[in-house]
Parts: sequence; structure tokens; C-alpha cells
Amino acid sequence: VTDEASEANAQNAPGPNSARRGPSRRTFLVGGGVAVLVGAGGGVGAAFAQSKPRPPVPPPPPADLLAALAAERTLIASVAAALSARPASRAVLAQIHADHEAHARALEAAIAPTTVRPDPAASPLPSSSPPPPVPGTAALRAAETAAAHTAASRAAASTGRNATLLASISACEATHAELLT
Amino acid sequence: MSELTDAWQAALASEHRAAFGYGLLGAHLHGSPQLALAIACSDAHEALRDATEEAITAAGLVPVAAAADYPDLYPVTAAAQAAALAVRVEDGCAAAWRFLYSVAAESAGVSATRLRGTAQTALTASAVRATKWRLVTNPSMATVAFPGL
Repeated sequence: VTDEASEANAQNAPGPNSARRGPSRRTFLVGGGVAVLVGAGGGVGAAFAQSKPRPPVPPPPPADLLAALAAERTLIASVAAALSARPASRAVLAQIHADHEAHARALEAAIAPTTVRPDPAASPLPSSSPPPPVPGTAALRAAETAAAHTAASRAAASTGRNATLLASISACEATHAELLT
Repeated sequence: MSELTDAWQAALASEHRAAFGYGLLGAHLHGSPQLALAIACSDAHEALRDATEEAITAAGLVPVAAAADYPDLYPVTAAAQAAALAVRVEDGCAAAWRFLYSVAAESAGVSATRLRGTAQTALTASAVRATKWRLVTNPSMATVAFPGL
């Protein structure tokens, strides 16, 4: 055990030019200072502790992406309801459903780097929610057309990769409207 | 500006290719129910090509010329191949306009904003036309989730 441990320590030991070392002498001294302060007066010690650097807080996800994801989930629920009610239209509706699921996954991936973790409560509809009304073909077509316009507007208001993702989603939703004609 | 210009010229080049492609495939659709669709698509691409040439010229640039030939579009010997080629040229245009959109989305300025509008319209139009042709070639896979990707 001691041989293995000493070998591991040797591998982990910083070289003479290493910029990163373990806890430095200064760290231990500061830590000792905190301990003394806490002992002397908890309030001062706590304030000192709070001044220590924290991990950076991820920026909030862009509102346009969150709104787009919510819109995709609404469309997924509408198309799923139509699929259940009109199995004869499965060939068309299944494609549309799959596209919207792909959009939702892409938006979740675009949102994820900005948040600590995706909000599990926000993913698929809770089972206790009432089933959405079953839209007719004309209503679905209108919803897809409206979604295409909204996504294009969100794309225009965004920049970089998010803008291009929304632009492509907009184009796809226009093809859905075509498919439902 | 040069990357944006290159992407704009590439979008024009894709429209040149589409106009050539529809001329090639249209000859195999006489008597076919898809002939009217091919003519409408061809007209749309020629109009977009002309408008793009004018806009590039108005920006003080020399618009890229059409190639003398597009060997990658051959062979087309039957109506089924013609419809499949239509899907290919539409996908090519969608990719080019989507790329222009992505470059413009990284750029600042009035011209970049205007080009994003043009690129969105053209991307959507090609995606919709591609879906019309996929309904002929493979109706169970008539859409793609991310046109132009």
C-alpha cells in the first residue's frame, strides 16, 4: 500500500514548473484565520466565508429559445392528439410529430449549456394535465403556419447558431403546412 | 464582409444550378402530372436567380456566372429520376440559403439583416418545394426536420 501510495503521490506531485499546486501555504494560513474569526465571532467569520469566490453562475437561457421549446411541446401534444383520433392520417401526422420532437431535442440541447440542468418539470406534459383538444387538419395547418412565422421572427431577433436553428425550424414548419394542405 | 459576400454568391450559384437542373429534368416530365410542378419550380428559381443577381450587382459586386454544365446532375432518363433530381436541387438551394443565413446571423449591419430576411424566405421556399417533390418520390418521408442542414 505504501509503495502504491507513494508512487501515486509522485505522479500527482507538481513539477518544478507547474503553475498549479495543491493548497498553498497561504491558503492554510487564510483558512486558519477564518477559523479564528469564527471562533471569535460567528458573524464576521460567515461574512468572510461568503466573500470566497464561487463557481460562475451560468447565464439564463435566451427567452426566445425557451418560448420556442414551449411552442414545440404544444405542437407535439396537438399532433399526438390528432394521431390518436385519426389513425388514418398516421402517415402524415407521424412525420410531423417526429419533426417536432427533433426540434424540441435540438432546442433543449441549445438551452442546456446556459443552465445547470434542464428543468425536469418542464419536459413532456405532466400526466395529470387534461388531454389537449383534438385539432382538425385545418386547425393543425393554421397552427403550423403560425408557428413558422413565429419561429422566423424569433430567428430574426436572435444571433449566431440559435438564429440559424430557429430559421431552419421555421422552414420545416412551413413544409408541415404544405403537407397538411 | 467577404465571408458574407461569398455565402451570398454561393446562394446565387445554387440558383443557377437549380435553373439548369429543372431544364434538364423538365424534359422527362412531358405527359407527367408533375410537369406543372416542375414549371412552377423552375419559374420560381429563375425569378430568385434574377433578383439575387440584381441585388448583388446593386451592392457593387459582380454576380457569379452560371457554370457551362453541371455534370453531377446527370443522368436523368426517366420521370422517377427527374423527381429525385428535383429533390436534390431543392436540398442544394436550401443548404446554400441556410448557410447564408448562418453567416449573416454572425454579422452586424443593415445589409446582413436584410440578407437574413432574403435567406429565410428562400430557405423556406426550397424546403416547401422539396417536400412537394418528396411527396412524389417518397411520401412517407416527405419532410426533413432541419431543412438546409
